[in-house]
Amino acid sequence: MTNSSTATIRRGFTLVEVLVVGALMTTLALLLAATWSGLGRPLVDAAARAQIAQEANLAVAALARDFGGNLASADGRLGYPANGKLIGRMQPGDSVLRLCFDGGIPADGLAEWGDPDSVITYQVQDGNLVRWDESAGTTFTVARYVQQLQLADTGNGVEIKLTFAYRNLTRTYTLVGLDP
Amino acid sequence: MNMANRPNNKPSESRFGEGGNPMVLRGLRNTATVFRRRSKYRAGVSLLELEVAFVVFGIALSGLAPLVVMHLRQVEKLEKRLNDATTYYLTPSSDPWARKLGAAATMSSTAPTVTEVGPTIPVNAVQILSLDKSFAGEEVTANVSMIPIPK
Repeated sequence: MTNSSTATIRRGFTLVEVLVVGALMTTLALLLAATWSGLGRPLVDAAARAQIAQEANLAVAALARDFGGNLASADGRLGYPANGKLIGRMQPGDSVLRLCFDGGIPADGLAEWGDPDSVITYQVQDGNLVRWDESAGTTFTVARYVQQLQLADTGNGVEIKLTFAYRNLTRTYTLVGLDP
Repeated sequence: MNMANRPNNKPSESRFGEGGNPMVLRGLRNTATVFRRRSKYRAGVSLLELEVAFVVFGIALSGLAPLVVMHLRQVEKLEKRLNDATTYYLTPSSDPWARKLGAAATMSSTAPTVTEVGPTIPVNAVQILSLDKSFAGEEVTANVSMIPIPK
């Protein structure tokens, strides 16, 4: 009799209980917010910064290899010194970088921008910096998250501005590739 | 009746009969009633338990802090290699043979001074026939053919 009557009565919360729970929930929310701003957000930002720095390093490594003065392949390294030498550079539309490496036997020292020379092209495609070997017909992605490739002739070289964008972070790196 | 000689050696039965100790039984009945009553309500969490949970949570979070600091230091180190506020110069090697053997352009943050080097007159026609470059080191072994250029 007593048990059945107890089961039908729903017990509510007292005001003190509600206030204590509210205070505890507020404390928990503040704690989580402080944790997110102190640990979570720097971690997310650092991950984005690391990603961009890594991609930028990859892009610079590829450009440094090609601006070394000789074609970075077996064709450029074998043969006479003139074979595979960087002899021409152009930047059509200031957004595409084309490098001409001397070819042929013997190498004539002239940039023909086609056979027998080797032409390497850097351009941005679908957010990737792509290196295209026109002679070999090979293409590979040098770096990802590239927003823009901006080029400007400096007379003795070319100024290369690479803009990377990843999540909400954007970085622009400036390089000057000097002619050999 | 002597306790040692009784057939069944159970004190409760011997002293208080088959019903057992009435005080103990009453206590057990009361406990059972309490459990039955408590089982009607859902067990809650005390304030102390919650505070202990907060402390454990805080300790676990503070354990993450060194990890974050270490990660940030690594990122800073990586960013120091290439800074977006600096203009870097990619300078090819001045040695034509170093360029020929695949030396990459050196990267520096200061503009290189241009030194005019006069044209060198080669005395031999050197042709690289094969090249062996190790992945780990900077050593290159080249098989070359050298033919003197007649003066």
